[in-house]
Amino acid sequence: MKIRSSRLYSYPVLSEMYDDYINSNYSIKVKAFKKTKNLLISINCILDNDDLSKLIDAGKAKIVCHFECQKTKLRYTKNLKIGENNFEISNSDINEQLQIVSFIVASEDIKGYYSTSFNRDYGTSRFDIETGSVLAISNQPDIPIEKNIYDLSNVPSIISIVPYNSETDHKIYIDMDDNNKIMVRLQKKDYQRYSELGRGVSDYTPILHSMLIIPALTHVFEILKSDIETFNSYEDKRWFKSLSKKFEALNKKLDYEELKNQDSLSLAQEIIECPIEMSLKNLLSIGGN
Amino acid sequence: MKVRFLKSDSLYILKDTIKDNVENYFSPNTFWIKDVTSDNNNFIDFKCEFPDFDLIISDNPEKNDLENIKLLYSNMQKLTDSQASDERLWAGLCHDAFWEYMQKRWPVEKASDKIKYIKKNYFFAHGEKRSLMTNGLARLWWLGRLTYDETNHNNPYELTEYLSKDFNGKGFPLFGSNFSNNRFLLRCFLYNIKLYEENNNINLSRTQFLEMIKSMNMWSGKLMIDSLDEEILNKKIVNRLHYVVNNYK
Repeated sequence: MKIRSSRLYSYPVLSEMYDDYINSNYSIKVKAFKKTKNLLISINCILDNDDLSKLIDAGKAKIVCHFECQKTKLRYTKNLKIGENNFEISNSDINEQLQIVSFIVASEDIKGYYSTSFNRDYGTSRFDIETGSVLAISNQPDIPIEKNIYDLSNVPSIISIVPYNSETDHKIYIDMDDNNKIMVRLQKKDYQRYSELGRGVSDYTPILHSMLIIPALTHVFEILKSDIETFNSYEDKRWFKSLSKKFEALNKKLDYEELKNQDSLSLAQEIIECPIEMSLKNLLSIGGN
Repeated sequence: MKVRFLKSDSLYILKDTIKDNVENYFSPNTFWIKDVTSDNNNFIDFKCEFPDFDLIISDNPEKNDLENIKLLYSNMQKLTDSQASDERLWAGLCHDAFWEYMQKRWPVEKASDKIKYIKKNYFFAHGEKRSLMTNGLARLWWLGRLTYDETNHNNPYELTEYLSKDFNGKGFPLFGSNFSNNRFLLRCFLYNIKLYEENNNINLSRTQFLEMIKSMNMWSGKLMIDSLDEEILNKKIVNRLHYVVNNYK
């Protein structure tokens, strides 16, 4: 669940998205730790508003946390308390992203609700609040959950080589728009030849990497560093996240500013672990020397 | 039953080359896949096994949707939600163990836009969330998953059976609404409507049912309905039902 600032209420709601309250705050700090089977979530709930605190203490309002994963159709709420709260969610219930948002809601009808911290524009207005009405909305952190690569038992790679149909065109095309993988497109017959050569891991593997993967990654880095908007537009893709992990393993950061200062070709070779040397050696041995 | 899913690369190639392979979807088997992908090993064994079972294939296959939901869901209940939201699994089953069922239930030859039809029914054509309801096999499993009520000891498939009377007109709009992802809200919504219909000897029209979905969405905009007490929510739904039945046809 994502609450947008365009959602308007007919009474003041405490949230960083609105200016209905002054000198007040309601927020959560979320930490998530992925264990083998479960995701441990720690939510620190912070409320800085005396009138809402009093409502909670009197049982007229409660704090709830809303968990949602759109991809696995998971959605439920849990009650929270001010301060530290701990939960566990099974990893198998979540895929990619867990959305968290917390609310203070009325537990009963409240007549003539008023807070001294209402924005001055409200004057001395009082409001009748219905049970279940939202009184405060927290910040809305997303918890990225990397899909367990062994969820079905497969091992992912970030690049797929796929064929395209053309009688005359033999160029390589790179497609970065797929969510999961960077697609390298080869003309159909070239693709068949590639498949023949590249089945399993063989002496041809580093050669094929040098021919196809390095130019593809070089192209991808060039596109990513073309401007910040372009870079940001790919950030949510699975292949980007996998690439980012690969960068971390090399003590680098897949970051626009850092990328801008790096040579794309050199970076692509590092990511693919410099296959040029092995390619040339293998070519010599395949040639019988 | 050994379940096999499609390798990522094979999935991408098959999906990417539908327009060149439409004729293959009339074929009685899927031997053609290896020619398309230039790979003899397009499938990978799923890490756990399931009981042996078949889906019902008849000349009037949509009439068997309910039985097939029960068959698929009950036999593959141990799939996790994360696994069951993976395109490789469902596209794999569509092109492997349940190829014959798919051809009968979702026959490509009858479709006007065959490419779109194959993509929608044999793969994930839309966002993952919507695709779970449009892929020919994922929809069966997810309809079971969302409507199966383990707390209903008399008949855990009571809500599945209720919705099976009109999956297209009522089920799919319902599962397109975000509130339906919350089992508590979904069950309150459906049990109340079913009971109301039984008590008043009526069947809600599609318009009335859609109006009820709209009401839930409208309340969600103002209230945190997920946190309402069951009693309060039931009362709201029944009051609204009364209004909708008397004001909409």
